[in-house]
Amino acid sequence: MKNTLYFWMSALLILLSCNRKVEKKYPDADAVYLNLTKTFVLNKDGSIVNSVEKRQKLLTYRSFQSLYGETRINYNPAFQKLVIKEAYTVNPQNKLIKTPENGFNDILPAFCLDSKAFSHLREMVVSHTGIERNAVTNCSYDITTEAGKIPFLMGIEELQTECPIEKLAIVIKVPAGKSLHYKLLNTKGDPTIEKSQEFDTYSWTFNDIPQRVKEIRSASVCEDVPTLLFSTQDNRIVAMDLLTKNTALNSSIGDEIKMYIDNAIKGKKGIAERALKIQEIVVNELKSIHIPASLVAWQIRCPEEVWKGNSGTPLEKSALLTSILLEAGIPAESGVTVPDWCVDPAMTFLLVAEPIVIVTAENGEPFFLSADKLNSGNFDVTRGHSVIIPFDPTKKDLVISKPTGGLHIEGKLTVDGKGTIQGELTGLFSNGFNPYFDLIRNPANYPQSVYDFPGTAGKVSAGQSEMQFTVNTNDLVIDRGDLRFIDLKESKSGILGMHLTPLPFARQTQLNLGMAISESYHVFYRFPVGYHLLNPVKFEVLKPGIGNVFVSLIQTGNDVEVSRKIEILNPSVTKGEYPDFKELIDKWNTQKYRQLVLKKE
Amino acid sequence: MKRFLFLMVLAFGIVPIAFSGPVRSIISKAGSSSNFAKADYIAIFDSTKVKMEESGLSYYEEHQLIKILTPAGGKHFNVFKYDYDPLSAFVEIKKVIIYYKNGQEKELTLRDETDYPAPAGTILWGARQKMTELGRLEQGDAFEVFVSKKGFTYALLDQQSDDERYIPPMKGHFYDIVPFWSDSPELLKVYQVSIPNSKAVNYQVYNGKLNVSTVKGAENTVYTFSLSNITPITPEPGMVALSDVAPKLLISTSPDWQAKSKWFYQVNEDYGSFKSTPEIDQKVKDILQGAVSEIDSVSRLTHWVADELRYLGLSMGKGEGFTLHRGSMNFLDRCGVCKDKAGMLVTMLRSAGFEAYPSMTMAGSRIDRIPADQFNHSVVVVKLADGKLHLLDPTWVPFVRELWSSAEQQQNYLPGIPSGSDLLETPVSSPKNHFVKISATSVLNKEGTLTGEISVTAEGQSDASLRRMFTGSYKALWKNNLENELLKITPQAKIVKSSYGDDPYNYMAGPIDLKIFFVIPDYAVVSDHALIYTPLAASGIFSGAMRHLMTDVKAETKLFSFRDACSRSIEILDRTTLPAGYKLSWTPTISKVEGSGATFEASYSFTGNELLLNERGEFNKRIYSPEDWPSYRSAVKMQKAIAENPVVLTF
Repeated sequence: MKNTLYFWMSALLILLSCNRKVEKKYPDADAVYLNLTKTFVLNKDGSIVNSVEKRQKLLTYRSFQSLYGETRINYNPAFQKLVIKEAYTVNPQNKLIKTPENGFNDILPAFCLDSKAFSHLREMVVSHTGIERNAVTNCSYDITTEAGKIPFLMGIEELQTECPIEKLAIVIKVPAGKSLHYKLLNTKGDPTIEKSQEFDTYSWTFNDIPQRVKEIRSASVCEDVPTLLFSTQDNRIVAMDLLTKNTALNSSIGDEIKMYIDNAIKGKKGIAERALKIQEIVVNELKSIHIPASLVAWQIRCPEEVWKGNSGTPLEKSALLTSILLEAGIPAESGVTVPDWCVDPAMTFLLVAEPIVIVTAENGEPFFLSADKLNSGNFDVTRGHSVIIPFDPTKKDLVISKPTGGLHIEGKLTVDGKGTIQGELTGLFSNGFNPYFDLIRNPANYPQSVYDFPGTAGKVSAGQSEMQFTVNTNDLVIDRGDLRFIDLKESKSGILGMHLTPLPFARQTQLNLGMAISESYHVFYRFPVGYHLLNPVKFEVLKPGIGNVFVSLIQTGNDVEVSRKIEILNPSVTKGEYPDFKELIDKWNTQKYRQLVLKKE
Repeated sequence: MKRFLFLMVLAFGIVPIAFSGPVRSIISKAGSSSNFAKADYIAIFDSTKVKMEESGLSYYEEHQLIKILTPAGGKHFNVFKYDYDPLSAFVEIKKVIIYYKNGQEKELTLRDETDYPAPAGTILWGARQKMTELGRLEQGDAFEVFVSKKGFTYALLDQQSDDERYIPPMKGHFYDIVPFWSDSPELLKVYQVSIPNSKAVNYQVYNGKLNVSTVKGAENTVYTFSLSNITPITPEPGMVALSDVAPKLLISTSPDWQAKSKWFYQVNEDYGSFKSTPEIDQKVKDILQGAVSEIDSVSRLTHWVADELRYLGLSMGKGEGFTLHRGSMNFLDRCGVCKDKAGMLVTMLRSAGFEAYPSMTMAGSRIDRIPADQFNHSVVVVKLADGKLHLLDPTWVPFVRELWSSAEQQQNYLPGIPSGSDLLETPVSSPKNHFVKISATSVLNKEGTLTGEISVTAEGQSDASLRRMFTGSYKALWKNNLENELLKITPQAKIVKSSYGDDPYNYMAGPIDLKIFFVIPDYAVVSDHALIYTPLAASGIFSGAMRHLMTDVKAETKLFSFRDACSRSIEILDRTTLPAGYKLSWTPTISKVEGSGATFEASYSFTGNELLLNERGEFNKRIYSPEDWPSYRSAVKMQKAIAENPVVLTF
């Protein structure tokens, strides 16, 4: 009797629990991961196995038409083996549809285009067939990296995706007794640790993770996304060996390259001018092959080979640039720039490191060159708060905290009766707004690309550069009836160039400007007698801790004094700060405060 | 003339390669960047020699000599690549000779060639590339390349032997489309083809003149076409495809389009592309349950295929490229490219009792009269009760309230029907089928704050353009995307309420209807003397549905035909109640536009305290001739002037 009672009670409990397991609704999502499990195994022999197992329910047409119809997996067959363990769809009628043989296609990853050296890399495209709304795709695969290629296990795993995740598991297995260093950013949770004779297993499980919405100027990885960092190596010097022990770094460049470079920098004076010319050659004349460094185990070819092939990865081009600079007698060294969040503890920085060349100027100050793009200045090669790590372990890190970008324009202009505006304006551009290298490269023409008026570079330095603009134009004045409208021009280097409009009402993620901003225009316009300003205004909007906007359009006699100023105090704007930030930017961008309207009496 | 002849000789490789003196000489005389100011490289010659066999199997020998003029040219050619489909073509980069300006030479052979799968997006048919790395080339360097190819672009069913796979789908026939235009200067381009005398050859040169010679031999006739000093065409904004205006040769042994049409019909019938299955029949029944008319049935099936079969090309192996996948494969995979979606729809229509066939068309450019395969897209024709064939395009109508996409109007197509068909052209779709109607009612107060509501509705392609802010976006961003339409115009706007209906995916329920209720502080400039503002409905809001506003109208005349996305009509109505006491002082000057390209008219009227702006325009087609430009341009300029210029009211 007792047993029978237990049976019925148990059955009832099971039924009740089943009833409670109502399918979750995701009205704002295109798809949902019912399960996403990523497993990382470091074997005793040094081989590494990365496994992914995912089960994703497709909710909207777009989810299967263009978002999640394929699983694309990059791998390097030279030292990695890919095994697709299963790929199938369960359709809404519960029918299982296996991905057919022709649904597995090995192709060349698009980033390997135009490079013979990397034409062996592959992207496996697993096409999920039989998919429709409410179908569930299932896919699991292993990538095994052979022993000796990557000497330690490391990973940066974002714990949020563009669709919600009902269950996310990260499992890391290391040989028994091997230390695993790990850190969770922007979330909390301890792993469960299981120890066996062979492996120590660390597991994190997260449930019901909301989707991450795609937004403009989202902060870079890890700044506000829940992320797990892990590595079996926390000694930075040992980790850096992967880069610095590249034998290719020690090879010299040939006479042919030397001759070409000597010829190109003939007549160039000073370290900066010569270094920038060499950078221009490496950036512009060689193709960049943007292969993730981990896919080639951070290995590079020797600079001579890269030069002769006329293409290279950013790491290879950076090594080439350093070699050429040194050969030209310019003090230079290779390094990497990494965001500050992954420096301490230094366990995963290699995965986000970007190569950079550090050049020492005549005054002993360093300046930084990219071999991948012509950077405008020192602050154009780093992402927010960054650290530059030189390859030479005896050298100190260079901590880059982007100072406020300054852009200040002032001067006096005259507007004649026909609507011609003439005069001189002076601009001071500092830090992130300072196109220092561009002005050295092209002092005669670059100012116009900054402010639409012909100009010349004045005193130019790494911190701040001055430009003079000569205004002589009819383009800014429009007469409508007896009213005259004058457009108050802004520089493209400042907020205008950041393309911050439209700003939606709310954000889910932090907004990343890259630097604090101080931008101002203080210009006097002199008009002929009889013009009356119709839109005088003076106001200031203060948002403590975030920034301020000041606009003043005031007429005194025949002069109209235009004073417009905006300050944004921090390089990034949190979700909470965003409404105030939006108010400032919107005020700044409001059309009626960006024009003068005058009436001729 | 001498140089021309010499180049001809060189181009066909008659000069022994070992004797490179003439090549060196011609490289040095070819010119430099000072002769070709905008070019990064030039082709000194570009020759193709084709030998067609009776079966249609063709052997190609390509021979080019390229001179590098700038570092960008050297960067472009760090490798030489050739795309091919291994199922239907065999390619070898037989040899490359690099002539360095310092006098050195390097010869690369088959040993230096790399073969690998090509990068791919949504078409995964196993395309491959051959590559030879040329390495660093500098100004003044040149390279000569020899490529051999046999085969065709598309695969053939029922392969017999190795070479059989390279015979074109229309056995015993040959065609080619040879562009005589280029992005970079070409000093000489030669195309020579040898065709068995048993074949009837049609060829025609379009958009220019070529030097043509025909030499009839005992078994074959050799046709040679050449053009010297080809310079890149300076494109005009919005112009039609270059192939519509630049010199090109079309050559074919196919007698006419009728033959092509019959062949296309037969090849797919033979393969069984449209054979239904019980599962498909059941699905058709389910879809058609409750259908109220013939057109309702066709519409339901077309939109089911459009929405439920995603665009993805998996290879069927033999026959891929020209053969439509079987309905059973498409239905199970739920994917396919245009031809497979067309095949699925034909299968379902036939299952429902309709007479339906696949068709071939060319999206983006014109098909000329010579029956060479100028096709890049596949659609469907269905015979309705009126006895006529009607076009359906399941690839281009996902979330579009049309059965045939009017973004393809004025486009040639060829139905694959048993009796054969001539080349046909899709009709112009009335602008009214693609209306955009924007309407705003608002109140402007003395502080310059505008309060009111704005709505937009649209049909056809214009509906699809607006709907794309939802169907082409993450669902989580739908609300933002709608609100951004207003914020783009006026960043300080506060949105009281917005609505995009129940479900933008439910596009067949009716035309899209978007609404925003707003309060916009600082919208107008208000002074003691004047009130200045732009009627919101006319400000360029919802411009995504009015692609003509993106047209570059600087040029007064057009040399080439130009295109819009689709024909379209616009109706804009803005009603603003203003503070008392103002009178209308200035508006943009409006004149009525009426012409073959477009019509446009607008008016401001001020009654009491209310300013009413009315705009109406019609943009008549998709492809316009240069004669249409003046009216099209004026209409665009007029609408832009109203958007960009505020009205002035004075006290």
